Formats: sequence, structure tokens, C-alpha cells
Amino acid sequence: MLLRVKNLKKYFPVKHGFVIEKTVGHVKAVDDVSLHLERGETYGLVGESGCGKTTIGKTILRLHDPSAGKIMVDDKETSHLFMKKRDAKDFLKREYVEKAESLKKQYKSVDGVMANTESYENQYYKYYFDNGEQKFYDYMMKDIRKKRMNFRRNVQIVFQDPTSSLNPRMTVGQALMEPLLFHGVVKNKLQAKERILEMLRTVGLKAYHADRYPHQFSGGQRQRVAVARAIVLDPNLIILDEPTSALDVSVQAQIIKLLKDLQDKLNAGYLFISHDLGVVRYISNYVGVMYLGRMVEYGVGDEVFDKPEHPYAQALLNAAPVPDPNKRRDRKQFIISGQVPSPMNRPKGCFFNPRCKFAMDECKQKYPPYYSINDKHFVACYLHKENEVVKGD
Amino acid sequence: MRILNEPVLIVKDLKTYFDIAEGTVKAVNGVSFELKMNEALGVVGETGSGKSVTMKSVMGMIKKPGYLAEGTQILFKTDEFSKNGEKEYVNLAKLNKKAFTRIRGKHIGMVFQDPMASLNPMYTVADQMIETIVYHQDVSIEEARKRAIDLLTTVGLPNAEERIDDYPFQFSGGQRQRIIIAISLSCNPEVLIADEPTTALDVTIQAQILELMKDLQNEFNTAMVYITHDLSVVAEIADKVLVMYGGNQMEMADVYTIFDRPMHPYTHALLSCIPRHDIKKDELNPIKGQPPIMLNPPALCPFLPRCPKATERCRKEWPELVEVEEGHFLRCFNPYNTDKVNNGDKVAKTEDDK
Repeated sequence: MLLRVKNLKKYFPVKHGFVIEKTVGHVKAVDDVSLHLERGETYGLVGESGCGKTTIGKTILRLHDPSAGKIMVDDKETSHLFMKKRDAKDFLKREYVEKAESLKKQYKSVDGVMANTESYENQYYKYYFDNGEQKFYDYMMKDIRKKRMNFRRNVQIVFQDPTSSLNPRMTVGQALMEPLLFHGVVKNKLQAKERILEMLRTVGLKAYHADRYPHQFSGGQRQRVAVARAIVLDPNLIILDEPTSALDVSVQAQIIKLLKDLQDKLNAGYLFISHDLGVVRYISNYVGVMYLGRMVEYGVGDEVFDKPEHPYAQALLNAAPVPDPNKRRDRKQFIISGQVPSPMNRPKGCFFNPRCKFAMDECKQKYPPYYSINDKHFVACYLHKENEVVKGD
Repeated sequence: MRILNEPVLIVKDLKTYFDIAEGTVKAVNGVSFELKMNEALGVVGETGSGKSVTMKSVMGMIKKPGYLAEGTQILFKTDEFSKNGEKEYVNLAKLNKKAFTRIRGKHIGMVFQDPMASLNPMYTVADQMIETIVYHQDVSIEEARKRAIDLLTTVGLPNAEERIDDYPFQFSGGQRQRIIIAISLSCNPEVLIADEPTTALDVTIQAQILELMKDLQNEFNTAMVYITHDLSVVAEIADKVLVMYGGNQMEMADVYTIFDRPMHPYTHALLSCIPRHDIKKDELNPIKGQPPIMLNPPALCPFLPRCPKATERCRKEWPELVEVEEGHFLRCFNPYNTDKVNNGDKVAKTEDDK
């Protein structure tokens, strides 16, 4: 499994006070999100602004430290890689040592834990049971620099606005050369140059573009440069954070097509973050719909888009206009009133219940678990409680 | 939907040029359209196609080094300047700056993309609304305030009476856009121009605002112009669509014609490159190449370098805007779907006689 995110949480503390800072609350940007992704597949994350989709991307890329949860790339834990030593120790203690102990209590024996957990997790439990706590920490922190390098090589990102994500003082050639030399992929600059020219060709630019500065390109070409920079190290996982939002429709189609062609070539996994439902449907195999930091519905892309089950997902899909005047509908029945509540102060129970027309008493009490509509489609809504609850979350 | 026959706004051969050191930028190069009461016109085009400049020209908001070229006519039907109280056509292109303030805001309203940039953060909503109403209408401040509260209620702002004294930053994006719409409607304008009114908003809020604008259009009988790059929004709200590319009007027709049987290769290509969320598309057909540079363009079709149907003739001549069927205008020698046009021979004729 290329990417496995398990119960990921990211809380941002809200601080008040000037000299003595006091935490007065948390913005729960991402709350208990799980997803997984194989090589060559695309996972699309959709939702409105402030639903936490970008935070997930940034946390996976480890630009943020996760508050809790596991992020495994190629079945290796990566959450602790970029934390301070003490934070990493706390994190490992909470996520592995304490978890292992409680599992041991639950299944009565070490063998029981091994038999009842998945291999990607119990490789770490096993090491802990065999070698004890201190050795486990040392094992996890061993060769941390190498692990970090390896992670950065394997996971890359393309941001929304190429104008601000490219260094204006570096030519395209220099920008592409730096990672190659830093990671020692090539032996000398001559080899690097060959690779750069090949990359530029791959993304549909010309060789002479290598000597140009970002401002000399149009928006679409600049995004091509950003894509070239992301793929130059041949990564396994690419996070695409709204890569086409700043572009015109005709250019957007070019970039999407380029990304799709590249995926066939590189066999990389894409995490595609966007608010544009059309783009997500076109490019994604799996889709997750987010609302206020939680995934409310996920599954195979066509299933979710054709038969949305969560009232929020239904409202979102029906609210998005369609480029076909014959399908103009009377939208009033679908429009959800009101605003998205503040992520600092979320409603009790299901977060969508104040705006949901199907809201029941149950919805105001407790956040619903995931129910499986079928084996490819899961929804967190009490309207589907006749279905089976998804285990393991 | 009731559309009164007499157009309120007639734009004929609008040309807006900008003289800069390197030459002339022909931002808008020949746009013509008519707008009737209670009609919604959608202007679509990519960045730099001149759609915003077109509408800024109509509003008299073009600043130096920009100017309207000779021959431009923007006829607006109003009783503002007439002595006998009857409505007559006034050429806005010839109007001086001072006289224009009597049109702008009163007879032609405008809604911009970013509501925070169009509201003054230093004044309360009440101040800004009352200012507009008192400037254009002969009412007292108390009456204006009452009217402002009514308008805010109409656009769906909850407890308007208390919130009218809040500052713009205290509202959410969707609410701010509602306030802007309320201000632009405060003088009952005949024409309302909305420049990307929902681009900065989320999908669900966008649906709310579009629904609101549709309702208000019917209620106030306003003629609307929506400028947008989003074809889906146009499909949703417009009666008539004007497609722009490189400062030129490429095609104009009613919304069903544009989407069902587009004739211009650009419209055709644009429609086939939008990914859709309601149906599964296996293949996207992006338009190759880059949008044109507007500086000193040759007198040829601007879409020529990217056009799949370009012929020798396109490389030599400038295509004129032709009415191929009733209400369907086209600037192309070699269009698609010619067989489906109601009087198809007209296209063939125009191709032959030149």
C-alpha cells in the first residue's frame, strides 16, 4: 500500500494573551480521517473552503506535524520523521507503545495482538514486544536523516499558484537541478542537464525554456514547470493541491491531461485536492467528501458522484452548476441554507445536523460511524444505519 | 419569462484600445449586442479575452491610456437627460464624466468579484448603503435607512435591522456579496452588470447567490449581464450567451443554441474541454496552444493558431460578424454544425461572396 492514513487528527491551538500565552481552544482542522491509496491510483478530496482538505495534504507531506494518527508511506511510519526528538518520542509512545499495551490486555497475549492486527502495524508492535520501549524509540529514530531524505524524494507536491511556489530568482533549469544534485540522483551537472531536458519534454515544454525565469512563462506553462519539478525525482506519491484552480478552462484541461498521462508513465499515486467537482470526477478513482474536518462519505469515484448518500454530499453535488442548459433544475429544493459552522465550535453530534433537513434526535447526540452502502461506498450518516458499520476506524 | 421587446442597452461595434509604449493593445475589438428588460446575458471567455473591459467600457470606467475607438456606440435608453420625461437613447460613449455619474449606480448597477474589495472597510454597511441612495434619489436619510433595511431583507440577510450597523469584515463572504447586490439594486437600475459574482464563493454559497439573483431579476425586471469564465454558471442563469476570445466576439446566441449546437470552433472546443461531475467523461480534449497576446494583433481571427478547422482563407482575411440565423451571430469562415442552422444557406452565401 503506497499511502495509508489512519485516524489522522490535526488540531491547531488557538492562543490568547500577549506575554503569557494561553490555549483557549482548538481549531479541529482534520479530525479522524482515514484513507488509503495504491500506486497508479488517484484519491480525490472534495469539500468547501475550510473543510480541512489542504491540511490533510500538508500533514501527509509533513509540513504540519499530525496531532494524532498514523501516516504510512509504503507501509512505513512517517509521522515522527520531522518532529522534534521529544515530540517524536511522545508521539511514538502514544501511538505505538500505549496502543500495544492496551491491545495486549485486550487479546491477553502477544501472539493474540499479532494475529489480530494488520502487518503494517504489528511490525512495530513486534519490535516493541521483542526489544522493549527504549530500544523501540532508538529503532524508530535510527538513521533519521536518511529516512527524511528518502521521504522527501518519494513524496512531492504541486501547489495551486505556480507564481508563488516557484522561486522568481531561479531559472527553470536551476530549480530542477537543485533536487537532483541534493539527493544525489545524478553524478554531475551534465547528467542533470540531460535529465532536466527530458523532464521539460515530458511536461510539454521546450529545451530553451530551461534558461528562462518563471515570470517569462504563462500561467499554464508555469504550472507545467511546477509539475516537472515535482516529478523530477521520480516520486511515488504526488499531492496535488488545487493544481488547476488558478488556470483557464482550456489550459486546465491541458494540465489535467498531462497529469493523467504522467500517472500512466510514472505509476505514481495522486492525492488530488480540489473544490472543482468536475475535475475530481474526471481524474479520481476514489473520492472522499469532507465537511468540517471529517470525511462524510467516501468510496469509488463514480459511485459517490452518481449516487451520493450523505445529505451534505447530495447538496454539494446538486449545488454545482452543470454546463447544460437543458439540465437547469429548480434548485430551491436542494439549496442548503446557512453557513458552515466555525471549526472551533462545532455542533454536537453530526456536524451537519443544523443544516440538514433529515436531522433526527440521534443526529444531535453522537457523531455517526461509517456505514457501508456496498463494498465500494461508505457514508457517515444515521439515515443508513440499517447497513453494516465499518469496523476498524 | 417576460422579455419586453424594446432593448434598454444597445452596444454597437465596441472597441476599447489601450495605447502603451510598445504599441496598441486591442482589448476589445468589435463587440455588439442588445439587451432587453428582464433578459440575462452571459459573457464568457478566458482570462484576457476582454470580457471585463467590455463591461467597464459600458460603465464608463475606462481610464487612460485606454479609450473607446471611433465608431463605438453604446446606446442606453433612459429618461435621465430628457426634458419631456420620455425615454430616449443616449450614447454613453460620448457622455462626459460628470453626466455619467447620473447613470452609473442609478441606472446601471455593478457587482464585482471580490466583495471585500468593493466594500469600504472603514464604514458600516448602513453608511455605504445610505450614501448611494441619498446621492441618487431625493430622499431623507431616515427614509434611505429604511429602504436599505428592506433591501437587505430582500437579499436574504438575517436580522438586517441590527446587522446594518456592522462593518464589512463582520460578514461572511456570501453575506458580503448579498450586501453588494443590495447596494447595486438600491436605485432600481435598469441594467445590472455582475463581473464574476460567484467566483470567490463556495459551491453551495454560489448556488444560493445565483438563485437570489434569478429571483431579483424577475422581481425588479432588471436586465442582467453576467461576466464569467465558468460555462456551467452561464448554462444555469443566462438567456443569451456571448463568447469572447482575444478581445473579439466570436459567437452570440441563445443559451440552448450555444450549448446544443455551437458553431464556432472555439465555442466547440471550450465545451469539450470542461470536465463534468454529473456524467463520466473518458477523454478530455484540451485546446492546444496558449491564449493570444493582445499587443498589436494581426487583423486575423485570434483563434487561428489554435483552430482545428483553420483554412487558407483564415490566414488572409478578417472574418466579419454575421447573423447566421435569427439572434445567432458568428465570426467564422468555417463553422461547425452548419447543417443544423435554420437557414443554413446564409452561411454558405457569406462564404462564397467574399
